[in-house]
Amino acid sequence: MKKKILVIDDEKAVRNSFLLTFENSPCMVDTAESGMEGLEKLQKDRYDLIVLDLKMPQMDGVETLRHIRKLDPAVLVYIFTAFHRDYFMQLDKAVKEGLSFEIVQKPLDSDQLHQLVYSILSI
Amino acid sequence: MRVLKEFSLSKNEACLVNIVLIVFAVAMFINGLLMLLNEFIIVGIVQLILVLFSLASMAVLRMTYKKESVIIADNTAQTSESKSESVRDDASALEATLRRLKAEIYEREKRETLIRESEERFRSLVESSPNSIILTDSDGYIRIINKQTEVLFGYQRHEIIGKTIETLLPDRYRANHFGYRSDFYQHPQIRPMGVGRDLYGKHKEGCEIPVEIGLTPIKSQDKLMVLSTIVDITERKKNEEKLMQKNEELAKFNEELKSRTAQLIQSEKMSALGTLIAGVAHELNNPITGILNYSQYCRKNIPSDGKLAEVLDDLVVEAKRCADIVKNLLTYSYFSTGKNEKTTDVSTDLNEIIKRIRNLFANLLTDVTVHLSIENNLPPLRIQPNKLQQVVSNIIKNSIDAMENQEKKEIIIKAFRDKTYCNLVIEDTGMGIKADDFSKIFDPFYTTKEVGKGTGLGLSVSKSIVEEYNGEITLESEVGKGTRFYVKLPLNN
Repeated sequence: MKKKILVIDDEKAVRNSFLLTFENSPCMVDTAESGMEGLEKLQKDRYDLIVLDLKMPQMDGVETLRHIRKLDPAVLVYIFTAFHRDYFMQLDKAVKEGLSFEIVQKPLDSDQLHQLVYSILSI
Repeated sequence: MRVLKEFSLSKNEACLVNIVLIVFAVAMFINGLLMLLNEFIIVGIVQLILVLFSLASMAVLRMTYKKESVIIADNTAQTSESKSESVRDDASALEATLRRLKAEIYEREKRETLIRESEERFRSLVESSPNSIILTDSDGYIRIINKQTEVLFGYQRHEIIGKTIETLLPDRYRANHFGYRSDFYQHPQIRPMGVGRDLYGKHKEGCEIPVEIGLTPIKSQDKLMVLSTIVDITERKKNEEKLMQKNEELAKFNEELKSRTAQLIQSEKMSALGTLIAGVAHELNNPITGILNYSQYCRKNIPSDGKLAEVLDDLVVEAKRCADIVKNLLTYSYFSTGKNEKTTDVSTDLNEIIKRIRNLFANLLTDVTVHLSIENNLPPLRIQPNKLQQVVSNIIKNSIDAMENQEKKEIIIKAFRDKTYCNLVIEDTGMGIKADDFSKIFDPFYTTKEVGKGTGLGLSVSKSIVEEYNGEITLESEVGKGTRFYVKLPLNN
C-alpha cells in the first residue's frame, strides 16, 4: 500500500515539486493550497506524512498545525521553513503549546526530498 | 720696668745700705785725715775719694728708690706720700674692671641663653618634624637623628648614631651610594636626592621603604655636614599605583568601549544587511525549489543520451547552487540579525548527521575516500539536527572544493568526547589555506574560490552556529597538504 503525503503550501512550485518527485513512487502525494483546504482533506482522509508551509495567507502554518493536532494527534508533520528568525519565533510558540513537529530547511531538490521522505516513512 | 722691679730693694734693705755707706764714709774720712796728718798723703787722698764715692752712692741710691716708688703701683714699694693716691687709683681701676667683667659675664650669659634657646628651638624643630631628619658628617657617619627617624627606620638613637648612612640603604644601593656621596661633597648645594630614580630606605627589620630625600649641606666648624630630610612616600606610592592601575583599567575600558562601539556599528550594519538578504533569499526560495525540482523531473524523464540531457544536467547543477546560496544566505541572515531566539534544541546523534551528509553529498564524494572514526557511545548533542548538519556539511563542502585538483582525495572525520566537549575533527587532503587567510576564513562573504564557486558564507555560517551553542571552531592548515577543522561543542549547554 502506498504511503500518503499531504503537502500544504500556497506555493505552486513547492506543491508541484512533490507531485513530480513522487510520481511513480511508493508514495502518493496530495496537495492543498491553504491551511483550510488541508484540514478539509485531513478530515476526509488519513495521511502518513504532512508537509506544511509556515508562511501562508489567512491561516498560517502554526494555526494549521494546531487544528491538525486536534484532528490527528499522531500524524507526522514536517514543517518546511526558510529558517528565518521570524518563523522560528512562530515555531517557538508551537513548541510551547506542546505541538509536535519536525523542521526541514527549504529549498530541497528531488533527491533530497526522496531521501527525506523515504527515511521518515521507512520506505 | 719689670727689670727694675726685679732688682729693686725693699725699704729695710735701702736703710741698711745707707747706714753701711755712712759708717764706711765716716770711717774713711777719719782714716784719711789721720793719713794726711801722718804724711801718707796719697793714701789719705784715696780714702777721701772713697768717702766722696760713698756719698755719691748714697745719693744715687736715694734718687733711684724715689723714682721707683712713683712709677710702680706696688703697695710694698710705695712711699708714704703716694700711698693714698695709689689706693684711690687702684679702687677705681678695680671698679672699672669689675664693671667690665660684669658686663662681660652678662654678655656671655646672654649669648649662652640665646645659644641654648636656639639649640632648644633647633631640637624641637628637628624632633617635631613629621619627616625623618638625619645629620651626617663628611665621612658619612650619622651624628644626629630625630624621633621620626627612629620611627621610620626602626632603630633607637644609640643603635644608629655613629654608623654610616649606608646602614639605612638597601644592600643593592650601597655600592653606588659612596660615589653619590662624594659627588655631593664636591658640589654641595641644596637639592633633592636621586632625581628620576626611585629611592628606598631599609628598615631595621630588612623591609624597604619608598622615600624622597632632600639634601642640605651645612658648614660647621669648617667641616661640611649634610642634613638629609627623608619623607616616607609609602602611602603616596600606594596611591600612585592605585591611580596607575585605575588609569590602566580606564584605558582598557576605553579600548573595550571603542571596540564594542565598532562591533556595534558592524553588527548594526550586518543586521541591516541580514534583513535585506533574508527578504531577497526568502522570496527566491520557493521559485528556486520549483526550478530545481522541475528541471530534475525533466531530466529524469528524458533519455540520458543527447544534448538535451546534458543541458538539463547543467540546469540541475546550477539550480542546486542557487538553492545552496539561498540556504546559506538565509542562515547567515538569521545569525546576523542578532536577536536569534533559541528554538528548543533536541538531542542529535552525530552519527546520524554524518550519514545524512554522506548521502547528501553522495554524487560529490564519488572519487573521495571518506574515513570515519566516531567514538562509540557518543552522547547525543543538544543542537538542532539541521544546524549541526549545516555546520558539518559546510566544512565538507569546503573540503570537497579544496580537493578538486588534488591527486589524493581523502576526508577523515573523527569524533570523540572529552570532559566538557564533543570534538569533531574534519581533515582533508586539499590545497590548504594560507596562514594569512586563517583569520578571514570565517568572515562572511570571504572566499578564495573563483567567482561563481562560493558565496563565502558557508564557514561563517558554521562558525555562527557553533558559537550560538557556546562551542568553538578552529583550523590548522598546510598549503598543498590539507586542512584540519576542529569543532568543539559543549556536552551540556
